[in-house]
Amino acid sequence: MAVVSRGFRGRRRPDVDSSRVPPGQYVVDDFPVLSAGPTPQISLDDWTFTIGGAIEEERTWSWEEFVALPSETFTVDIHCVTKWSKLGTTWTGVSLDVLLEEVDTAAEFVSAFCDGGYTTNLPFEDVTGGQGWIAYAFDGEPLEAEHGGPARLLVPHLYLWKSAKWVRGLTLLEDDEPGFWETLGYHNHGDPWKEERYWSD
Amino acid sequence: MAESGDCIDGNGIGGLLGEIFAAEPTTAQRICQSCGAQHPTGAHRAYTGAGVVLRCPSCGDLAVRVAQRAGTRVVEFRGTWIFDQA
Amino acid sequence: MTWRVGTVVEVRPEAARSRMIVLDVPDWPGHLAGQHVDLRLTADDGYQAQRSYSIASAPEDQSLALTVERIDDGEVSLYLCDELRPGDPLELRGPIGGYFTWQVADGGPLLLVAGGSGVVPLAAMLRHRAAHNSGIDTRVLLSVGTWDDVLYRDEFARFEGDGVAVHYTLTRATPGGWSGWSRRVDAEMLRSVGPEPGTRPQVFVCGPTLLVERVADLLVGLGHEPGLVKTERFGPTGG
Repeated sequence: MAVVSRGFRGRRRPDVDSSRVPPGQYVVDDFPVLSAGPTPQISLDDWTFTIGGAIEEERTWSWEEFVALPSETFTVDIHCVTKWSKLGTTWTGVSLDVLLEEVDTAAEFVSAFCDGGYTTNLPFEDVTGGQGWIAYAFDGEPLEAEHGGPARLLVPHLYLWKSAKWVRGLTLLEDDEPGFWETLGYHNHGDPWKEERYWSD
Repeated sequence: MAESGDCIDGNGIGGLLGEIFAAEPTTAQRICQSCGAQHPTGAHRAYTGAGVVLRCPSCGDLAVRVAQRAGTRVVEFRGTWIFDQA
Repeated sequence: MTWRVGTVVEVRPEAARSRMIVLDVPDWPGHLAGQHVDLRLTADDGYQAQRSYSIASAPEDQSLALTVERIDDGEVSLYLCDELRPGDPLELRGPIGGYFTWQVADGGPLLLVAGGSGVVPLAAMLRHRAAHNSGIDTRVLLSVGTWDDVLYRDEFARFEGDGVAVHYTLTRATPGGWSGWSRRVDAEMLRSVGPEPGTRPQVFVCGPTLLVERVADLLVGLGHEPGLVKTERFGPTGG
């Protein structure tokens, strides 16, 4: 049992609506930067976003084409499996419903792939229906590289490791393919409200 | 490998590694499975995401992945590791 | 390697914004200069925060000492600098990091380069060197914001003349009459500090990650063997 440090509180915010805080989480005001590898440096001239896999024809957008798509600005709470939560974050991006609009697929799963090699998997139904975006702005400014820019996947109803930074596309799959952290024992689904942090949760 | 200011040295996660290894971890040498370079663990690049990742300082490929959880650790090692016996 | 509990003996100011924290740690196994400890703080509701701090004291010293820079809104450094008092417990793990160490038996010459509080583990090396009355050729280059921020100023002044050359570059403000460097570390500065790469010095570079990476690249560019340049990145500044 760890010894209590007299007088230590940490920088957590006490004055929050606890109904917005999933079990085991604490709220922070800053925006911690976590990653599994170096921050990729990618030129927008080289950036593309691709939807492929279990569909008839792969679809790819250049950066110019991507930011011309219908976008939304929205505010959500985000929750990291390392226990910090940040409430009321504002993003701008393209809904996955827009990207998948004309896609005809029997896929039940998606795998996001990214610059740097990171991957994460999600059920198809968790990224559609207004639950998922490819976000390229935060608080009205272009998304900083350390937070996933030029663009990241954002699926705020799941733990933030599912919101893959530096995303470059989605592969639609008939069979689930656990990604980078999932293959190491992190929960395959990752619902913070059910505290689905690890495989045995 | 390009530097980008977002990691610490493997030496910096020596406390975590010391809980996993019986031997002093930061001076253990690792031969990378991808590029064949040999470096001490202490000179690898350590990143903190959901868990902790250690990467080869020459090519950036994975060396160790650690899932952090109270009471249980899941660790994946890649490459060939050389431990000097005390 | 397990967590153990030390007791704070003293917390005293060090330079403008830091504190020297002296600890009594029962059964401390000893350490090598350059090693660090992990500190773990636990709030009464179980919330924990953990940070690594380099050991400032020499292996020969009676007590274990850490130097902590006070970082605005750094949750751990603010606690250690503003709240911690003699008699308080402090949970720690270590000593850690056989990779970034130097002992007199390792020989020289020695080149020590630090940014800000990166000087802490290098100070332990210098104290160890002094404890052994070693005359090993040692060059030190410290990049600091202002003269008031310089850690261990008087002590380092005493090291000079024992075969130790100490150089400062002040990057934010210089005192009146300053004739030293006042810019970021660059190749010309490193060349001037020496020693010659051909003498195969052991090099230790410590401090904020970006500075360490830049300096390490410069040193290799000057001809130092990569395997002889050891780095200790502190990460992006955070406390």
